[in-house]
Amino acid sequence: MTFFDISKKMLRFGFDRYRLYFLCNVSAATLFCCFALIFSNPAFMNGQIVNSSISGNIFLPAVVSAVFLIFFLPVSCQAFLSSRKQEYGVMFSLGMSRKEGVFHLFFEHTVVSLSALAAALAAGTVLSFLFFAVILYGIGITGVQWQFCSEAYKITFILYAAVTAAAFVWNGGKFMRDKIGILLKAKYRSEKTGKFFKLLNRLVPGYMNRHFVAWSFVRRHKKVWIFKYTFAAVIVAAAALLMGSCITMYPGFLRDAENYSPYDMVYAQIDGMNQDPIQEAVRILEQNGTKADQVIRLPYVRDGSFNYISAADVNKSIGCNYQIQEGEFLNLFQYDPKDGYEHNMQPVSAVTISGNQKLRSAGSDVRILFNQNAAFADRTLIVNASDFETLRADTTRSAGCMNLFVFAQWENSYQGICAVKEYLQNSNHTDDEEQHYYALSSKVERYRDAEKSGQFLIFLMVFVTGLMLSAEFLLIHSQIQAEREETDRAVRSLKLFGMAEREIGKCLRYRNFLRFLPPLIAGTILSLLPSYYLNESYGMGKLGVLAGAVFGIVLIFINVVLLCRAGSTSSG
Amino acid sequence: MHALNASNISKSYQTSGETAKVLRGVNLQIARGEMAAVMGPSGSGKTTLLHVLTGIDTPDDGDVAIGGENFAQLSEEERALFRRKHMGMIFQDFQLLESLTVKENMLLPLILDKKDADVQKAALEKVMDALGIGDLADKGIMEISGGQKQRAAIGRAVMNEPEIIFGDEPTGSLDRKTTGDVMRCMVRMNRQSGISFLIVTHDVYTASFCDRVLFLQDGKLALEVKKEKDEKSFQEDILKTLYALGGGRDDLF
Ligand SMILES: Nc1ncnc2c1ncn2[C@@H]1O[C@H](COP(=O)(O)OP(=O)(O)OP(=O)(O)O)[C@@H](O)[C@H]1O
Ligand SMILES: [Mg+2]
Repeated sequence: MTFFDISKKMLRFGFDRYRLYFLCNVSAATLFCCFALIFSNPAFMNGQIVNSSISGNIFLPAVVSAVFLIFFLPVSCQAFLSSRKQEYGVMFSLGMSRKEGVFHLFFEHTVVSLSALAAALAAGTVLSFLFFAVILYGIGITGVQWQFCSEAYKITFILYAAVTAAAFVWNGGKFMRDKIGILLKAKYRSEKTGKFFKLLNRLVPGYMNRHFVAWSFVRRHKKVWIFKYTFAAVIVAAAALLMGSCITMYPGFLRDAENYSPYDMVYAQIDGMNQDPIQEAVRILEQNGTKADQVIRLPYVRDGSFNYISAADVNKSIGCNYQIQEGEFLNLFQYDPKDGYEHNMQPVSAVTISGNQKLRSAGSDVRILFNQNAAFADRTLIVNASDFETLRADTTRSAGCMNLFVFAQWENSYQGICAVKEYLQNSNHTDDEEQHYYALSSKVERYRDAEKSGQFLIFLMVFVTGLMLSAEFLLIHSQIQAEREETDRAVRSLKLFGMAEREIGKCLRYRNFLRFLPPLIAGTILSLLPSYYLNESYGMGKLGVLAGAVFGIVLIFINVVLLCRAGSTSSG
Repeated sequence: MHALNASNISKSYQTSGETAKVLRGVNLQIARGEMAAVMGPSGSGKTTLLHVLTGIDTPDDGDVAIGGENFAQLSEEERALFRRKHMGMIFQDFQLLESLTVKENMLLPLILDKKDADVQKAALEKVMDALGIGDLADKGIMEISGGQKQRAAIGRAVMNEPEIIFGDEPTGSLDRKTTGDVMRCMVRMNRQSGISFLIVTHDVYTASFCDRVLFLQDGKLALEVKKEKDEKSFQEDILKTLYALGGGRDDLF
């Protein structure tokens, strides 16, 4: 028999411990790998494909998962090594040298770590694959799909390798310096009662007396628990924060869709496109059950940077009251300042309209006059009627007309919109790309996109918070598992001195409450203030707080139910 | 030459700012093949002394030599090797590995020493016979009684034929009858192979199996009693000495 045989036997015997350590490693790395595969996906991070207010939500969980990996692995490494103390204490007392000890531990650790990494990379891939599959097939967002990103695997590998190596050096080093006597007695070592427990004993002596045994489980390994509580609370807080912002963002998307579409359908008659008479479009709409109440025709001139519209036209047909002098213009910013996005509102101060004739800025206004459309330039300048005539006469620019439709009911105008779109495309006779450029835009399409984005967002949130909460659960659960031997011993002696099975069960259940609930409560409370500030930027602070709080309460409720059920099925 | 020679050992512990001097200049010699016990009331520093003698802990002052080799001068690595070849240990709580069988636990010292399979087999057979636990070889540690565990632990300690075996309350968790069995096992090992034993105990019955009993008091080895005739009279001598030292009845049995 050789030491290798002995090692194998130890592995088989202590399989629970190895498995726990393995699983801790796998889940921490999986979580990070999965997020890395999402945030390094070029399509997902492309603002043209996925709204950045959705994709941006991946960063917080990615950071949390990285921090989770960085802190959780060393702690589980420590727990794992601690569970080996007695074995190595005996070996050292029999004359194994510390060097040999380090070597064996290192070997074991490397095998566990590497196999965990392999499993994690596979699991992370599968998870992220599922994520993209749901986005593509479930929600129907095209253009985003799973991609092999070597970057993501590389960062996961580097981070994981660095953390596990550091954890091993740090914890293994401490382990190797411990005296043999301490290693042999590691199982039974006590810990000092901390200030917190002394305080509790003084504040609520009756309560502490009644739940003395449950608290005695909680008191052990104080340092690890304080760390785990703090970290679990941070994870819960981040999840509640994300939930809060998700709940406020969804209605925000819909509101933006409406705000940015003052008209129910718009298209441009310009560059010889969409030239069919308006009546034809109105007729087609009517055929498809959509009644157009009003059609506004707003003449405009555009170049690469600006739409020019005449103040007189705007005043007449849209009912504004702009007074623009000849030789001047007004910068129009068609934004909703409360939509929660950053907007570039740098006004231009002068433009040349023809030859050396220049217009000067007379100021700016923030107001959404008409919908966005590919055939309109990004920025709009309102000019005097006579300057508008000059612009229109200049053949280097395009002149045309915006057709702005108001429907009796936009909500069910989708069929009509599609029909008009098809009709216009058929009569245009150009290639697809140009068609896209001159295609009409509508409130109902924008609204549907917003709904889709909302679903995407909610799915992302559910996915991410689900993973984060499982990490949180694992954080607590792994420690309870790591302490199982100790608990079993305690339970045995509790039975010996006359505690009934039922009482022990109750006690362990109560201990589990003390283990799982504080981080949930603390995390929820912790999230409230940041949630308020984050969501207040678009006027939804209170809703964000409410959503986070409800999320927290639901979580606590679910936990209580699960803990009660787990407690009633087994006492250990 | 002595199997163990410890001179002028002192050791103190720092607890919450106070220094507790546990050992204050202990001198101790154990001859080759001798079986000796150290007695003393609880908290007198018996375990501390043993830890210093085995190199588990380092003394503040003094020297320990085993088989003529001075411990303090060895490096960590050399100390481990030394422990492997020249020292055995028996603990009150056995310290057997639950993951291994009785046989495997006993073979550990030889396995660490990378001995061949046939050497292992021969050594095991010899020791198993002497201990009378041959039928337990393939049992798990949780399946055997305390006395059987301690006999397996003795087997493990003698396996590599060390210079000296140290025992810290080796009968501390055993009843009187089992104590007798285990101690007789030790005596047999001692007589057969000439390995010296130093055991630390507060139990008169356990101590009476040894050739000599030393008494630890106030951090020093104050007195000693040698076995002159049979165990009965030796027990009386020990008791008398304990009374003389002022130990209460707490220290008996
Ligand atoms: N690691 C330590 N740190 C501080 N004090 C210690 C330590 N180990 C032992 N002591 C103290 O040193 C004294 C002697 O302890 P030791 O364990 O050697 O006594 P003992 O004679 O073996 O007692 P027992 O018969 O109860 O086993 C005790 O007062 C003990 O509290
Ligand atoms: Mg002791």
